Amino acid sequence: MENTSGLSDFQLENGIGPVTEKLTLGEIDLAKASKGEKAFNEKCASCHKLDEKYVGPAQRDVLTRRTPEYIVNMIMNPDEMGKKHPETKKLLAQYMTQMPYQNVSMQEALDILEYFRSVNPKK
Amino acid sequence: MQKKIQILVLAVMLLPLIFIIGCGKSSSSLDTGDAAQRVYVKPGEYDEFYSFMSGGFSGQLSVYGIPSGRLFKVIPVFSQNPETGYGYTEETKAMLNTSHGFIPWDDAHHPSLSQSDGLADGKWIFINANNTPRIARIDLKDFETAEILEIPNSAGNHGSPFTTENSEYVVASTRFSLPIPNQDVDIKSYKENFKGTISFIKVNPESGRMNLEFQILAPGFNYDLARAGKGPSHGWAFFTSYNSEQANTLLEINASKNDKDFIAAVNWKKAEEYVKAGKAKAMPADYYHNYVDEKTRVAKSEQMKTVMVLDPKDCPGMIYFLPTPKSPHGVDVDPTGEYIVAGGKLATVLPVHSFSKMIKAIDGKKFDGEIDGIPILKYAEVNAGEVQNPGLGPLHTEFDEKGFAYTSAFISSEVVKWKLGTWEVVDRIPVYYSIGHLMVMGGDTKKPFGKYLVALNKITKDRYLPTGPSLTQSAQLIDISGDKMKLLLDFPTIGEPHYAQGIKADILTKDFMKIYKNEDNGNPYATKGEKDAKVVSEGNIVRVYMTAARSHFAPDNIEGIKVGDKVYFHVTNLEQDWDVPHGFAVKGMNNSELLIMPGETRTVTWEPKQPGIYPFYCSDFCSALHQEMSGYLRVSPANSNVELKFGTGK
Repeated sequence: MENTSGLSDFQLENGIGPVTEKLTLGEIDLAKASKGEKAFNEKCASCHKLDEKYVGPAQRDVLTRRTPEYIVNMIMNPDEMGKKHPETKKLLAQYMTQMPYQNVSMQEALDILEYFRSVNPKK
Repeated sequence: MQKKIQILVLAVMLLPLIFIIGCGKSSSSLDTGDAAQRVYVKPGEYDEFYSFMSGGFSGQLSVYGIPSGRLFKVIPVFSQNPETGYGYTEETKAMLNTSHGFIPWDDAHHPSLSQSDGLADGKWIFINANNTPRIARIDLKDFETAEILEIPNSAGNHGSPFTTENSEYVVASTRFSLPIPNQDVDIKSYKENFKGTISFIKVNPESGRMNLEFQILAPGFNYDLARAGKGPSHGWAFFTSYNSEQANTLLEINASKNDKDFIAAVNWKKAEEYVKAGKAKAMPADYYHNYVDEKTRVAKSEQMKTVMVLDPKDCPGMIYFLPTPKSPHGVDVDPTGEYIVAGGKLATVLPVHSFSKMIKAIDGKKFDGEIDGIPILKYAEVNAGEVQNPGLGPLHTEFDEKGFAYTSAFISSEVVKWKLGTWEVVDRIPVYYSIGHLMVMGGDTKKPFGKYLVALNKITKDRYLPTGPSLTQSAQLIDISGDKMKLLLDFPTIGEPHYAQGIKADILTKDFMKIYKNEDNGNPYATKGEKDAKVVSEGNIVRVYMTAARSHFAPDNIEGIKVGDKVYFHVTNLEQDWDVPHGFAVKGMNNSELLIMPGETRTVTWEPKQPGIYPFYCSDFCSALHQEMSGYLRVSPANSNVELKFGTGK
């Protein structure tokens, strides 16, 4: 299908934001995952639960739906994603709440990603 | 066709008339157009300057853009503000503690920006409370009041808080003299028992934290305004006084008898030496020091019990009197630090003293007697010149970058421009009406920005659409970039715009705060994530640890609260995005709503009086689902056994 979004193929698959090339992920680092869980509880959990739809979608299986790069870009650059990315726009129309910018650093976002990897059922 | 011809004929007939009217208006409409362009800031663009204007009897500090005259912030300082919860919340209440108890208002007069090397550095701004003497420090990172220090042995803290060249000190002089320490005496014993004080408040260069370092005992006059020296006069500060007659009744007449009153010149570096040398006496005093703890962002009060006092009799060379006509109000030091201009309120001339002449006169002991150990210098030995015809009731002077001074004249309602050195008046412009202070952008610093002058008027009368007996207060913007001053704009202000400070916007915008970081939230009752939201009951104290994020509270259903309970709502805003505050309001709340910035925890208390259901909601429109951001509290009778329950989405 023709790409009419104005985004590159990379962006369509991996989102728009600070991550512009594929991440190299090793074995799941449980120490990082635990930091990620804390950050998730402080900055994300008012809207996201692991297993139920809340203000936003459930997150346990997010890696089944999105690439790691998309997840980090979505966490760090939600405003632009909500305005430009066709997948994010669809979700905004469905949930009617713009995901807020939560001042998450790259390190924290990677920790949260590690947390998502550790809880993913297909890990 | 015929109709068109008729219109054409009519147009031709009217042409001369249009021409005449057009011609009559053209010059003024051109001027107006020019003025409009000068003050027009395109939507979405920024003003060139910030102006901080005192809120006068509102007790607050307002922030305007110049040249547009747009108001974009009111910073609560000395008065409670139910709009944000300032002075009502558990985190801010202590800011308004004084030795007279909790005081929810005051009269704020003179904002003073902190300085480095005689230039406004954008770190803090200080402002005085006149009625119950206090000085506040506002942090310009977040535009919040960070500290309030009460000044003992003072009444009518008018001559404050003017800063020294590097904000080593802010100074404060007392308008009313009093028995020191205060006591029950016959008012008629004024001359024997009443004294003035001049206070030096040290400012910590890193934290900004204030400390009342020492006070100087002064004769029982009324001390009015002050300025610190700069450049060559750095190390000195100047204080006007009136009522050298020491009248205690009908001052209007009785304090206006002497042809000259005094400017007190204080060598504060010398005073510091005397304090170090142990010349200051520790006097018992009672005053409060309130400040926001940097880690918790919760205000604390400390009760202070002593103050160090210097008596001029023990401290030769520390303070001198400069005779000055007549009941002088303002005392303003020019950018070079050489000239000290006195606004001789009842004088027919504007006296200008010379700092270098003053030093020579001190060295040559050109004295004309002394009062309470303070030598009086001879007028001719210190005076540099007099501005003739400076308008009626000259009050205050500020300076531009080109060697001109601008003086406000209250009685003749005008601004008078004159040249430093020649003392010659070069221009004057009427203002509407009864100007008090004026402010040139940076006009009290070593390097004024010039360009604009703001007239801070006392009377508004017919300048705006009438609103009954009570009218807005007002300021006027005047272009001072050319030879002739030009009136550009009238704009309304809050309270009485008593005095103001102007600073180039980019000095403040290069380093400012957008949010409070969640990880830095040190409030002891902060809830760091929605999972930790809870309700805890200890006897009749109920603490609700609540979080707010678009677009719900957690918990949002609470049961088990009883009549007779005191409920603390500790609400944490978990957002980390700029400009996403949440509000919090419960039906029947007797104090104020909360307005909570991202990353902040604010606490309000509530004591329900009747059983029933009480809705609460977010009072700041935050999102598309703002109207859904709400919840219910169930209040049961005092003796009921309804169990404590809480949750969100269950």
